[in-house]
Amino acid sequence: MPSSIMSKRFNIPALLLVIAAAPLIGLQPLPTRAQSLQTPDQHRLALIQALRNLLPDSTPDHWRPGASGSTELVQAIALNSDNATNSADILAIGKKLWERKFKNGKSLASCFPNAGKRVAVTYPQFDPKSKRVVTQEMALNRCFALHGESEIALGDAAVIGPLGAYFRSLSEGQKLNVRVGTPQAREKFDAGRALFSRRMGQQNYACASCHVLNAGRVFGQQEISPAVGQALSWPHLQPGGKVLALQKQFQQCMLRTGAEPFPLGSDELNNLEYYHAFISNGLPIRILAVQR
Amino acid sequence: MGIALFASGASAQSSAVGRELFMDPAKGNCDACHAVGASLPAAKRKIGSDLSNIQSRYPDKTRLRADIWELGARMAETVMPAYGKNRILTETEIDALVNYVQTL
Repeated sequence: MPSSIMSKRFNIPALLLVIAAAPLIGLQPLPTRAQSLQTPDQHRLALIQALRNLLPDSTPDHWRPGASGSTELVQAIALNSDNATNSADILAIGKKLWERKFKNGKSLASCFPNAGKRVAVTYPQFDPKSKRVVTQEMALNRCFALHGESEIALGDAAVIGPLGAYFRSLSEGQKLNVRVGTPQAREKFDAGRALFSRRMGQQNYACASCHVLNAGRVFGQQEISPAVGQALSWPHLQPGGKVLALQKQFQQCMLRTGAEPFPLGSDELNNLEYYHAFISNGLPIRILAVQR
Repeated sequence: MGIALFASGASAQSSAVGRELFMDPAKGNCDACHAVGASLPAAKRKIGSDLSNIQSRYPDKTRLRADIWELGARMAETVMPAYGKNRILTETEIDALVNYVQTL
């Protein structure tokens, strides 16, 4: 990555742009003393209200598809895909990976409450022991490590994609329920929130520039999805059968701004995912939604 | 006369280059955010303003150029990239883009 682009990762003067716009939408870009008095739930509700003000004809239920198509589209791909890779195939691959016996006879189900059912909707979680946010992919890898198995590279979409999608499918119909329960967890939430609103890159966009300030408007040919609701649909199924993880999408967005993306599994992206998921709390997830 | 024709030809050429920049996703990508003379329903409105009749809004060409270079300098809340300040376009490319946008 050219140094000129790298140096644009945090364009501090430009951050003022989002700060100036913030009162209009009830979104404060960086944690402030006033914000520290606002709980994450209060922030989530204020954000929903701000988006409803921008999009008066819609409700959070309308925002559920996020940047994805309809379930009918999943069926269309299943019927028309040349490589016969569709959501059912991918979930079947994920199920095999999930049920695979470790050398010690255990499997992934042994690492999660209720054998993993209705658990994925609680991720990302704050882990007080490591003082880090743990995504569902990290939790799967921790289980592998605990039982002496090889971890899966977070960029290995052919493996982590189906496995993550299957884990998620064990929570089908459940509502997202990410907790920010302690001051330490709150610090991570605030860091994710700050990154969401921080302008970066040569294009000088923040996530919030598009998905809050301009939600519902059109960029190119595509309507910009509101931030609330986006987290419900991940991972996505891309046309052609590849599974796209949320953090890969974060990276693609950062590349579009001209910024050097943070690595998969970095604290920055984990905290961002934590915030991003929390603001969609209370809405039901979707399994393997198709990327538009 | 000859000089005037040459100047006019150079401006047209610059405007043609500007049109390419206007639509190039890796350069100006202006049409991603701006409509030109389209009457879009509210649900399909683009991020930026409609650029038709731009000369009525920008009778001063240098003002238009300054806004393309860095609109944020006078409009803090904008999401429009600073094409000059952040070196997305060269000075020559900005001139070409100004020449094209002025024809809209």
